[in-house]
Amino acid sequence: MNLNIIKLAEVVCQYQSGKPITLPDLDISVGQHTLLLGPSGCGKSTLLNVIAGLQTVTSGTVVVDQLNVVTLAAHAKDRIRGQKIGLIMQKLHLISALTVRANLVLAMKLAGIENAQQFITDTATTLNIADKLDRFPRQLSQGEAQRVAIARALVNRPKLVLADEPTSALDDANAEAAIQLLLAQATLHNATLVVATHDARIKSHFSHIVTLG
Amino acid sequence: MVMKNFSISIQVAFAYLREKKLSTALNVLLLALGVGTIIALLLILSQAEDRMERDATGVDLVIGAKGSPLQLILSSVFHVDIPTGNVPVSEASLIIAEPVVKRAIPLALGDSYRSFRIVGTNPSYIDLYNGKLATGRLWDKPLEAVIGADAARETKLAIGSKFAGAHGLNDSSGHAHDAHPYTVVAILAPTGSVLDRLILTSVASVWKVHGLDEVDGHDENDGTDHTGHDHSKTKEVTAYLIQYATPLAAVSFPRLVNASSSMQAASPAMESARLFQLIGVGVAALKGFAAVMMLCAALGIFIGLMNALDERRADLALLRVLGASRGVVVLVTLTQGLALGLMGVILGVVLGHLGAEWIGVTYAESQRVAIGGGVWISQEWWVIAVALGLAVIASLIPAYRAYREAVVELLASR
Repeated sequence: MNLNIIKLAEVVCQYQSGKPITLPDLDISVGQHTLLLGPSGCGKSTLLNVIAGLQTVTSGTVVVDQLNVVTLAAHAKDRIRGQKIGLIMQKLHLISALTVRANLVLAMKLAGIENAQQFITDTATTLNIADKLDRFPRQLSQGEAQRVAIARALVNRPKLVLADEPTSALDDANAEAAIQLLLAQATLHNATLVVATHDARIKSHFSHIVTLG
Repeated sequence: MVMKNFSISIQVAFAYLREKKLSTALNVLLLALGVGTIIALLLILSQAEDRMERDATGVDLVIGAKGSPLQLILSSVFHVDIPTGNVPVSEASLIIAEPVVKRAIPLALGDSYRSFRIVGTNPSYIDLYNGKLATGRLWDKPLEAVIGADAARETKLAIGSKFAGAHGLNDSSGHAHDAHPYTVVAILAPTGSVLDRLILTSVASVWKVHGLDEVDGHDENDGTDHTGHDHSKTKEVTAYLIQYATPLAAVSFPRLVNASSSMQAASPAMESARLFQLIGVGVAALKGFAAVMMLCAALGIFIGLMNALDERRADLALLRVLGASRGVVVLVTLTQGLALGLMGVILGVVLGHLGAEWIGVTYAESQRVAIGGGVWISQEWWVIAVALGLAVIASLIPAYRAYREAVVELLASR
């Protein structure tokens, strides 16, 4: 049976200042790698925020892992986000006052996972940032920071990884490396992956593509 | 869940404080200076008040020469000022013979040894402060001296030592009475009272040193009947410390002294209160200054947290993205304010006590009141509570802003 981990139906949401945005209906199966492709401003990030429970919707249904997040209380949405979802953002990477290790530990603590130093070490080794664990974000290159952001999105062992424009600021080689890494890690951790981007360079890596705008 | 949130808040808040070391240190220092100043003032005042209360215990009234009553109390009870003059024993004897007087202790002042006052008195003066002899015996003839504990320690006088008093009370620059050296016959155990810093002898000794009269070998006011012989014609004492036989004497006896003699009566309780009222203005100004410093520190914390909030809006949004509740974000902000407050208070308390100790050591020579930093007074808890309260209040608005911050708006604005 092909279970849906994400199901959006007739979703309308509205920012504090602006007209209502109608989001496309969406069905994403467990383990599927999906690309949300569209130009800037078409609602890709909004769609990811709605799935993550960060954006309040005016109407419609948003089911994530069999829970309708629209009807959930704020603290329940926070808990689901911390435990089931890994989020990677284009710029918003790491807390500057914490070391890489502390950033990863923080994400794990917020997910309710304790004593997982080995998991951190293993993930960092896989992502080739094991020697950067005790550095601060300002001491990392952009590529290294991106890998740390991917690691942080995975350390809570999420069922769902959402990535917003993970390659837009990277050159071709780094964009290719980043998307390869993301796909490999999602597969390794049995996570469903949803990537929102306007970057058509990475189109070929996805079998399930949803075009917006 | 609550513990987890606390743990996360503390981890993030302290990381932020570490990241802005200079700003953190300045905020802490500002609060510490305010807290420290107030605590040092409170410690000094409290110890001075305690000491004055102890020194005045058992003394209902002081009789001495007319002049400033405050000066009379300061010179005779606390030994910090020059006396108003002397009073003839013959006149004072009539007054202290009143039935309302339970005990009258004479004090004859005028000389000192290395800034420690030599006080001619009788053994009741030692009893007044529950003084005990550490070694030796009481004087039984003129020019024998009993040394207070602090005076003995600082002058290095021991049993059998001989020394000559010098004219004057506050230093020994006056001419020395070399012809009449004293012999130390006892050292007093520490009492925590003014007794510790005095050199005691009989009134007759003081008269002999000053050649007022021939000494016949007995004390005035030693409890025996001296009415059979009058040798007090030229003899004077500086003051009498009076204990009433009945509390009702407080109503009429001072008036009797002031109206019917050339002497004045002064109440230690009233004059001490007046003294604290006088110095209270200065103390209040200093306390006000310290309070302003504490308010400035709170303002500094407020500004620091507001700026930090602006700088770290992205971090706070990131925390929310990672699953932190609004409560955690608020806790992070409050924890920063509280941590700054706690560090400021701890440093302030330490500085306040060190300051009081420093003042005690620096002015040990000139003061008659022992002050130190090694005591704890209950008012300090109030200062700590107010300082921490200010730190928390200063954090509330930034915390509320953090609470209200909409993650999506922030993400969209980036």
